[in-house]
Amino acid sequence: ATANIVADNAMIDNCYPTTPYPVALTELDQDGSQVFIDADGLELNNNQQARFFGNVQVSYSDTLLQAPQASFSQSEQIILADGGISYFSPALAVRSQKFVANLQQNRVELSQADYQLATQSGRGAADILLASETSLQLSDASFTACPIGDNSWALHANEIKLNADEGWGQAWHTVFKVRDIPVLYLPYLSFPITEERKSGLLLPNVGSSQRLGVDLELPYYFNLAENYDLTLTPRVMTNRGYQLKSEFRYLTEDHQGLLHLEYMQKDRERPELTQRYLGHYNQRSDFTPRWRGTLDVTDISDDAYLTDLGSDYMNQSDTQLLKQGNITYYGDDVFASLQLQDFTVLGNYDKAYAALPVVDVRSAEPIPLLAGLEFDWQAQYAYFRNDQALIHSAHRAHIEPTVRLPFISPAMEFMAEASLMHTRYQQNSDQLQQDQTQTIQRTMPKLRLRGQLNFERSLEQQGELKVQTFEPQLQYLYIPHRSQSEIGLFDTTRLQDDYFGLFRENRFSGLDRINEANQLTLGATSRIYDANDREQFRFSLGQIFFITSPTELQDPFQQSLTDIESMLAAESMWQWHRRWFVSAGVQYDSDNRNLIKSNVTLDYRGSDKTLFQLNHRYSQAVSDYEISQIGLLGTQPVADHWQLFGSYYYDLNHSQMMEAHFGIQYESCCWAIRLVARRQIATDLTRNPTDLNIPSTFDNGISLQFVLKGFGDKAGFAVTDMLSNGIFSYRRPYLLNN
Amino acid sequence: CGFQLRGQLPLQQYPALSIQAERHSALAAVLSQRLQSHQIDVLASQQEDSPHLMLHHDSLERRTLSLFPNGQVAEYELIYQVRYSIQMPDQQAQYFEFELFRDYQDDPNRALAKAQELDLMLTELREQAAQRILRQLGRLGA
Amino acid sequence: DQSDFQQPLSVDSDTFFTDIQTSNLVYERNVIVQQGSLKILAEKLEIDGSAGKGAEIFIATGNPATYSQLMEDGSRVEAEAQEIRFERADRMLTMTGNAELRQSGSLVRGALMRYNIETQQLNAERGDDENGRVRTIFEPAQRQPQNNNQEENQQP
Repeated sequence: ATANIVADNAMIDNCYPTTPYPVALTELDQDGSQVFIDADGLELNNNQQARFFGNVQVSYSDTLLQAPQASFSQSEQIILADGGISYFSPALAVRSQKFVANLQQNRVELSQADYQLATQSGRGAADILLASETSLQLSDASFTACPIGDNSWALHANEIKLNADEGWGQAWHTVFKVRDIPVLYLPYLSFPITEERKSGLLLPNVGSSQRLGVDLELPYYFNLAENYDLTLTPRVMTNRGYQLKSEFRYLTEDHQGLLHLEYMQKDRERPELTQRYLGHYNQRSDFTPRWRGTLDVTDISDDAYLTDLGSDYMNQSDTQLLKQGNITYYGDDVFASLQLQDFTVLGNYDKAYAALPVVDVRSAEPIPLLAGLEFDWQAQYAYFRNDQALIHSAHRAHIEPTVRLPFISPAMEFMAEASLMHTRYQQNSDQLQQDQTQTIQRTMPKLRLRGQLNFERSLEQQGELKVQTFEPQLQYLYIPHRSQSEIGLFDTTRLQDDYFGLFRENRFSGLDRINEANQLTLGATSRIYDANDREQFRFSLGQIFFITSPTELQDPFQQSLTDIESMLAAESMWQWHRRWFVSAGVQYDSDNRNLIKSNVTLDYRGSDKTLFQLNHRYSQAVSDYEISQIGLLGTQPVADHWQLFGSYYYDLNHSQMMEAHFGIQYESCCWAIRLVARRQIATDLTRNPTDLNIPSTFDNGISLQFVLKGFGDKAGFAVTDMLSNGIFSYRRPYLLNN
Repeated sequence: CGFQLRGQLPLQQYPALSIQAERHSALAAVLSQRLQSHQIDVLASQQEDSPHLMLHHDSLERRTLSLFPNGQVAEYELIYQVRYSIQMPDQQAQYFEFELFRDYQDDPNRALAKAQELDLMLTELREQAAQRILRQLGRLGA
Repeated sequence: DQSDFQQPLSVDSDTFFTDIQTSNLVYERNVIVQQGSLKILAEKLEIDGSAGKGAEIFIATGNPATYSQLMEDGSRVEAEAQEIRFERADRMLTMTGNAELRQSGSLVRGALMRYNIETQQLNAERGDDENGRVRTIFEPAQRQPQNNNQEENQQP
């Protein structure tokens, strides 16, 4: 469901009544470089020194100055003014006593200034205020985001520098005052001033839990140069000790990279470990317009690092760390890539195969032949390695030429495709009875016919003109049987058959197994689009029918893979009312009459501050464990500025609670405080994941998140933010290398 | 029941269209191929009289859906987010954003195979995203 | 420049007569006053010679009357107004009635302006009506003040 929650800025509006801007600001000649001066009187000496008096108004490009009198030197391009001055620019509105503007360097200096930021909430006073195109420098200044008359908090510093481009503000020798009472002295302080830099960085972050005790973090930002910066975050955990987290980022035209290090010298809870660290490095480089290299490496000191200390970078319940590097060539006719891929798996699982390397070469685009036919080819060489596996190393070479006949018209899309798949293996193992290395060959054709019809009709519902579509789809797939049981499973596992998967050519993820098929897949999708083209309803249903049922397989490698059934899958989303959304998906094996997988989600969206969701998931076998789980989450404003939120996930099968959050939040114009009580299952890697008889252990915690609002225009807690600090709602980004 | 076959390919009246995206953007490549198969050629640079499509951002994120009894992740939800804007000739650019969801079972015993499945699902998500952008182009061109 | 004032001064017009009460000389229609690079064009010119030779007061009126002259640094000054008063003795120009004065890189507009040609000092004042304020426009700095090809200022 793609419901996008509109940020409610009613809170912002009544906090900050719009500052009255003079009407003249609207008639400014933005990009002109002339200086326009209106006054009651003028004295101009030999066309160089001009003195103006009588409510002078100077406008230059997008800035405006009003003063009782002013002077302008044409040769030095300097404007001076004093007395009660007001100065307006797109970023700023200032009242001050003295004004100096150097037009050549585009720099303005105001003394004894009271300023109000225009693009975001922030105001204060300064002895000297220096404004240039990108940055604002204040000396002996104060800064707060609270509206006028509200002294909840303010920074008083010798020097404050706000740089909109970098998104960070910095302050030196800062005294932090709450209701004018000095509370904290900081020699140096950095704070985010734009939305993207906030990125979940709540300042400061105070929490407590059984695992960590009191947990306090305060980030420091260092802008080392124009295109690289460093953020250091010292962290104190009273149960465990001190930790230093650092993130170094750089961005140039062709290269971008991030180095994230978390280091802990001594963890009192785990004295036997000399040090605990997490290291993550990712890099993307375009060496030339055609050659690109990427690197994505993560490593940690010990398996329990994530579950004990948590990390900004990974979710506590993640199970594997990726180590991957690749070089890609983007040619006009040929696309080629070489990739090295290895995993560290946390917990007692089988060691994973590593691909050292996988070389893929394929035609960049289908090559047109005669009469609408197309030729396409792809080839791959891979070397797999896994010392603990039965087959400790294997070479695999694969070639797959394809001839295709696509036909696309408004009403109908059709594609016929025939390809020949040839794969050769050389597998090495020291346990096989015969000779050590075994070479296997496998050649199989594949025929695939696929068609889709597009029907549409207009629809009258609740007085609104809508469009309903009906898109039936059909696929015939023929792949003869080939015995593949001696081939090892290197990068192959059974794919999950949701609706989208029904129309795949292969029901396995890799090349080591290509399922026999003589099957027909029928499916249909119907959608309803409302007047402004938002998808309001979607229902898809499809099933695979076997024309000849696949021969039974005795495959030593395959016992754990469920055998091939005739799968029915459906998926739906429906916004039946302005506030109510329901979405569901089901997979059903019609042969053995059992439900493979289902999920239902019911959403109520009152306003953007009121959200409720009830969801249920069932899965017959995830690594041979039956999952049945319900979740309830919601947030509701209770009074002016107060908001309640909570989430609760319960495992029906194991009848135990998995995660429960309950929180209350007070949000005023310029600060917000959130108290969250949390009880969640503690990931225990030493245990076999599906071993039910040992009771799970839980971690309880209370965290106090406190943020000085106003840093960044919509800073503070977005509603989605509130629901996003549990296991279930933490979104972890992937690095897409193209 | 009133259904008739769709009479007109999306963007029938615009024979060409320009795409602006990050260098080597896979989504842009998929989209250009689908456009070409709809007999719309993709121009190298923006032209006055043809629509201009800008792919601002595409990202893949993962969210936990269910856990094993020992607290480790059993199922993930893949969230593919796309932000783009379309500028029809002599009109303001219109901004669009959508997310596509797929769930994905984790299996720590087969990390390499699961990574392969993830790449396959990313390709499918990009096909679906391209289809969706084409639909939106069609609606604007109508 | 200053050498203009040593040059002979000439006045041409279509008609010319002497006003008996004021004994001023009055020239009418296409009046041209020239002295070196100083040039005044007007509809009507009245010369009050009561202060004696070299101290006459020229009162030129027109729609508008215009004045132009080259300065020492070679830059040209141009002005226009409903009425231009030129006092020869102290070389003072007084312009009233939406007066406008252009010099290289600057333009001034106002109800009343006094320009001392010798010291190149200009004083401008606003008129009493609401939009009679003095407006000054300075061009961007890159052009040197003393270049002499006078750019035609667009009328804002």
